[in-house]
Amino acid sequence: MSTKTRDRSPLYVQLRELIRSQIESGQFAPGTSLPSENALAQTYGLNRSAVHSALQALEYEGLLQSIQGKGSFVLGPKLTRDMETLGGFRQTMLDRDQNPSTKVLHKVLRKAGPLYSRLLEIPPTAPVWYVKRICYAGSAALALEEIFIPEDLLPDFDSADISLFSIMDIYHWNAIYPLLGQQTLSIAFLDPSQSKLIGLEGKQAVLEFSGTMRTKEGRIVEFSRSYTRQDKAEFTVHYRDLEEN
Amino acid sequence: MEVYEPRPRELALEYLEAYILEHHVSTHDALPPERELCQKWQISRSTLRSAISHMIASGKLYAIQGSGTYVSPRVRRNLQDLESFTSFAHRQGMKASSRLLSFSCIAADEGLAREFGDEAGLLLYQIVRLRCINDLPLLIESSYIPKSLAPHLEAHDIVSASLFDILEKNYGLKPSHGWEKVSATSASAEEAHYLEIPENSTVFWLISKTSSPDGALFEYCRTVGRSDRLEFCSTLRWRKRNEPS
Repeated sequence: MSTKTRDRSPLYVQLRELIRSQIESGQFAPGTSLPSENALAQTYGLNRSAVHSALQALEYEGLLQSIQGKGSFVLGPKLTRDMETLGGFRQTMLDRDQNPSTKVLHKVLRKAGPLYSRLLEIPPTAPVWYVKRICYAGSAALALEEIFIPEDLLPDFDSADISLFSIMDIYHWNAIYPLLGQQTLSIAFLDPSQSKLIGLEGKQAVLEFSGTMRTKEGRIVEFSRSYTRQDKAEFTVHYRDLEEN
Repeated sequence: MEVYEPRPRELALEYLEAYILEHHVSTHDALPPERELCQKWQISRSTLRSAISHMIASGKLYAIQGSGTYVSPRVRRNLQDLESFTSFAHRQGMKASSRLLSFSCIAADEGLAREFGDEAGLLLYQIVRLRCINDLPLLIESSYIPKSLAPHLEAHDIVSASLFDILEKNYGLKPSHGWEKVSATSASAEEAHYLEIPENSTVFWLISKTSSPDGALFEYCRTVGRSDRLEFCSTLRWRKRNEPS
């Protein structure tokens, strides 16, 4: 790491950035192993615990997987969800041959109650469809998702098979066209009983993506909330100078 | 048709979140006494406490021993515009400040140089700043700017003025569009120190690239942000290409 003036971040932070950029640029291809901790320590003149700390952070991020007795292996790219397109995630998974599937845990009616009545702009006693499901990419659990839909919007939702069709398809078949979504991305902590559902142990930090979708007329179609494994997915967005347009 | 009854703790969480939305409770506002809330919502004290402690763990609330429970200060940043840190803080009624952690000129390693479409050794300014909101640490931003595009950048006061303002006024580098990626990592010892959180806490990890109207990348930025004080938002739109044929 040749620097002209001394880089003040500690060496293992630089090693983390260096290995990350080597993985992202393809210098270390998915499935290959990294040099051993000892070898990395020697190459960069670091102590072994500093190397270990850098690798641990990358493993947490989902870029590496350490296999007992074999070393650290580079994993394939994470799934990218764009924060610009409605229904974009499913499309990305299809584009990447990730074979998206879901396991439905709940698909039931409930009262909107204090929170969802506000979020959906309906009375607290109004019935809503409540869907809770696990989303998989291939065989790996990726996210836990909860969706709340005003019942009167989809009176026949009960009989629709959402393991075969996307909910977006079902909206379209009912002549409902969601156009805009306002989404918030934050970091949340799942209780152990919930994190277990997506293959994590204990209380775990996950990326929470939540928000509503509206039709052109401004009617709120759904509120959804998904808890995505931060080691499996990342979110991207393009931005532009709004004054220019 | 099965009707779902939310469990008491789930309902308590819904009441709490609805309360925060409804009362537009903002930063540092206190929740009413537990006794009052239990009576109002017809839930037990232990259920309410369990829900409150979950929201404290998620960073939405914080408690002061012997005083009460308060709403955490949270900054909401739109990912789709180029509004500066200072300006979005002001708009949300908060005071922004910065502390320069390091300012150096470095020779880019291969990974960094590739971001700029260049080769290792490219000279970059590396500016590391701690960003605070109401004097609370929020982000560590490491900006990389090619020296060739902004010679003598060190002569400018980048602590009190906006970096983008300096780049535009003095070097004609007008931010026009960019791309941002949001994921999570664990805080290193030094990051944890500056952000005042325990080491290995989950933090936001952002990469952003900003280009001028002619498409030249002039800033590459890596940001580590506190997960309890920050959330991101964006607007999702339906795209024609997704429309079923």
